[in-house]
Amino acid sequence: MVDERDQSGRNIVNGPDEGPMRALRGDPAGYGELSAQQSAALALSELEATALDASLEDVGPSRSLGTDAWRRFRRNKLAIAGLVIVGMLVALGLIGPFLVQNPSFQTQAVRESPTNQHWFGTDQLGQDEFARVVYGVRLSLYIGFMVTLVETVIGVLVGALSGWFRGWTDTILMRLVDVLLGIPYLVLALALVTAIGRGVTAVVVTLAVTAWLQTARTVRAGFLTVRDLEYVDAARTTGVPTYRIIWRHVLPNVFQPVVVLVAVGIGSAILAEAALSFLGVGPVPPTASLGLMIAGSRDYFTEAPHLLLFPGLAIVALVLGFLLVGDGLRDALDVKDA
Amino acid sequence: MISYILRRMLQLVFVLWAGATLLFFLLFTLPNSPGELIAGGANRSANPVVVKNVNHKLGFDRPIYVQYGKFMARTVRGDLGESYRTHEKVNDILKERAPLSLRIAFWAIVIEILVGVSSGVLSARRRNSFADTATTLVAVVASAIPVFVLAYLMKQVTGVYAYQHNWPGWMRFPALGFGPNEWYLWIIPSWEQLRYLAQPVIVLASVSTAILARITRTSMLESLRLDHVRTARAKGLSEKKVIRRHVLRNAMIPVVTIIGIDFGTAAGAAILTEFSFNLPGVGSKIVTAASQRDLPIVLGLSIFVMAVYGVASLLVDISYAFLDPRIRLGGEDG
Amino acid sequence: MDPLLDVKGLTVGFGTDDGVVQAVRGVDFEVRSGEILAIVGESGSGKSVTAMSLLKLLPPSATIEGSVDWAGESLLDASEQRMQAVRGNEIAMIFQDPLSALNPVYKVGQQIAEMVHSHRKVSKADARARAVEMLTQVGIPQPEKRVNQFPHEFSGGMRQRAMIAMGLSCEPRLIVADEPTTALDVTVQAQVLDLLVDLCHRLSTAVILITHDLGVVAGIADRVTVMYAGRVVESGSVDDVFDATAHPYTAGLLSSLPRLDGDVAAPLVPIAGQPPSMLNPPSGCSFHPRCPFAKEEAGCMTIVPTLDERRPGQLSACHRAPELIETGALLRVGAPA
Repeated sequence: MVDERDQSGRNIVNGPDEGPMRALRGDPAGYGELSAQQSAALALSELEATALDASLEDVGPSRSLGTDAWRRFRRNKLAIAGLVIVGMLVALGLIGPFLVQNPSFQTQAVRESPTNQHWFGTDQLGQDEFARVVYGVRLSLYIGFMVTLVETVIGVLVGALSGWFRGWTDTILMRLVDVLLGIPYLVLALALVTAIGRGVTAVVVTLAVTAWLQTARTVRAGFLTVRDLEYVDAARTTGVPTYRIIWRHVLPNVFQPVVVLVAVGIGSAILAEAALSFLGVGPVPPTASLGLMIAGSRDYFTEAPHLLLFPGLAIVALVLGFLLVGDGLRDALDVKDA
Repeated sequence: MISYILRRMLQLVFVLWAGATLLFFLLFTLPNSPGELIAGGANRSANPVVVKNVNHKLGFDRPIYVQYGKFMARTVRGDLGESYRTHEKVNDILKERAPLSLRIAFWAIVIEILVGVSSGVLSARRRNSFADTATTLVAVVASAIPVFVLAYLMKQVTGVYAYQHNWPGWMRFPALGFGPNEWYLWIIPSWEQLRYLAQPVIVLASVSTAILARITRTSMLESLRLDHVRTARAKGLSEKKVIRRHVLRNAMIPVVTIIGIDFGTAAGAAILTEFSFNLPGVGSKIVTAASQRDLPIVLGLSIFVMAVYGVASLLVDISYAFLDPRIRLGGEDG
Repeated sequence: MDPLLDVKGLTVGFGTDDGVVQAVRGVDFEVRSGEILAIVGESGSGKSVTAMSLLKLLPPSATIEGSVDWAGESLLDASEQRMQAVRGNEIAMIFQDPLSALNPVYKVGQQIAEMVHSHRKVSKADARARAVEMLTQVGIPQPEKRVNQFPHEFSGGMRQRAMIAMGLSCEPRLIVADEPTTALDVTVQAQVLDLLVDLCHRLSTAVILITHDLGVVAGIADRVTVMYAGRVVESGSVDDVFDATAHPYTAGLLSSLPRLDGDVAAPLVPIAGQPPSMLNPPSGCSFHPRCPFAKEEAGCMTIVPTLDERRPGQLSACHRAPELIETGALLRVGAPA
């Protein structure tokens, strides 16, 4: 008799369908809804479920992980909404400078309500609020992307070193992560800003230094799991060079959770930048930063509520967009630990 | 269990020591010398002689390891240092400000757990109902609103607009000041105090509540699918008993972990909340000190926040161990 | 004697995004008091779904049709309240993986006592005493100590013994064991199975043993029902089915087993191909794409074969069964040509 167990067991680790397989085996699928197909299959025993899955996959031509994930992502309305929000805001950030005037140009109209000329009104210095929001979004996106880029590079490097070499390297690096996690991020950020000063670059450095911990942990966990798998052992014993093993076998395995962390991380970085600006330790005026604009509006809320609403909404839209995309990716890629 | 708690306490001591050390070196070895900061004030063009004198007076010209030794010696004795601008002692600042911060944080956590967990459970139980969709949506949006935006909105609506338009008394909350400072048993606010406390507590609780509701919902749905729930049904237990005994308890295990992890974010949110409501707490003081680059104050207060956070996490881990015997008895990982 | 459990035309479907998956398609079988019935099939044959549907433990997305007659009572029409009284008390289940089937946060004793408590009006102390008694019966050493331990402190075999103790604690008339030894170490599989059979014989509890392993069946079952792609393809007494099978699929299963009584040097021959998709099962006889005897003219590709009696008490669903039995072709499946 064919030993199904063994076969499906192998499939779970190296097949291209790791996601659906895991879901069907009854492992928690992460956040959000189970599709009807998943919940039906979950009712079956493990053995039967894997076979059922195999047979469902037989129906059409075999789909790659990317197509499969995209298919599931597309069905998630909230994720698509997030993608649209992010797309629009990124487009606005890119073409914004061609649309609006200099955000620091001061008109005579101070704290004016929205008009045809000034869509979002003007602020306490007579600057066009719309132009400032557009430039604020640009800055938020720039900081969000830069922080996440730096943070991901640090996180992947540390996690990989830790997970691959283990032993002392792992102990030292992970204790460092523990210690940094023991300091609430805003406290650490405030201390860093106190030490290195204000400004856009300082904010990027500060936020990147406080943000890489989760990525490092996730990547390390991925390395630890993959390193012991038989096919990696096999590759090692047959003399495949280390960098190739990592590149071909290990990195693809940690890729999915990292993608989710990147999407969520951009949103968090944007939120954190707004907080630092708001507290007066972020970018220096006259830089158009959404957090600064909100801080500046606080004394005028009653007469000029638009000065809080528009930058506030811009932050919410930015963060919400990346959060929804991240959640959608988490479901579509079936990442649990990110 | 005892050995687990001891091990965990040792770990806390290590993290506190290493964190304090890290912050110390971060603040006191980076390019600009403290003397320059103090002597030069904001304009940064300080007279070199003055800088030298200030540095000497405060001991900043000694080798860094000597400074570190002195810092550690006094920190271990419980002296968190003093400002070199105003010579305020960090310990005095804490005596004055910590109670308010701790009270607000305590009530925010109570609300977070009550509202977050129960709405998450309900959401999971009535999956795909209107209430579930609404809870999920509100939770997603709430976790994207910056704390300070929420704080201002709340202040303007229930603190200003409500007074201007004569809303009923229970919908009006004073937007200025922090109340008569009346407490029963140190932690329970008087009615008048509650009116001042409500807004910051709600704002501080909101983000964590949203996160917790989402996590609880997910965790409940995951627990519902575990094999032992099927066993419980096969035993002939009523659906109510299955949920109460076999789903809830297991679902709470990751929820408790998240509550612990979330304290870090909540500490950040507390800083923003205090700052937005102009509350004389520890958080707003850290912000002021950071923007004035008052290094010892930032360092001292940060160590305090770390310690509170560490102790809270420790408590969470202990309750976690109570919930999950696999941790308590040092078995394999869950 | 009337059968204890009589299942007729059991059909279970799951609605999915890609259409309805027909996991079970018209299954008939019966279990008499004190008898051991084995349901054998590959992964995806619908055997576990069959077991779960007896106690209505499937998720709401499943639709169950047909009839399940339990000692004269129709279980598919029974109320949820009545089902709760049946579950554990009249029909108990034992699952495949005892580690995940036991709740990690409660002591083993608590979990057994909970079962007793929900069906018997007993005191806490009595329920606990019953748990200790049951652990003793399933051969767990130091039951007084073990009763206070958590599942993760038990070894795999011990956990499954504890599951058996729990299953039998209310003295059910039928126990459904879904792959009870598959997750266990090979060395303890036989012990656990022997224990289960032994206890059930003593308590005259009937057993439905669900397994993918035909080898397990030979020693212990009275009768066997072979399932393929959601249908019963053969059923009969173990002796009949093993010695003179009437279905090519069973023949294939048998030839992939090592046999002690035959030519030791004979190669083990696996069945070619994969189990079919349950979303879109093959037309006619579901086994035809893998069947060495499938023939267009016999209707294998187009007509669903009926389950007919081929010998007294032995049924099979195969268009060519009479001819294959006649020529003895099925006995030579897998033998060197």
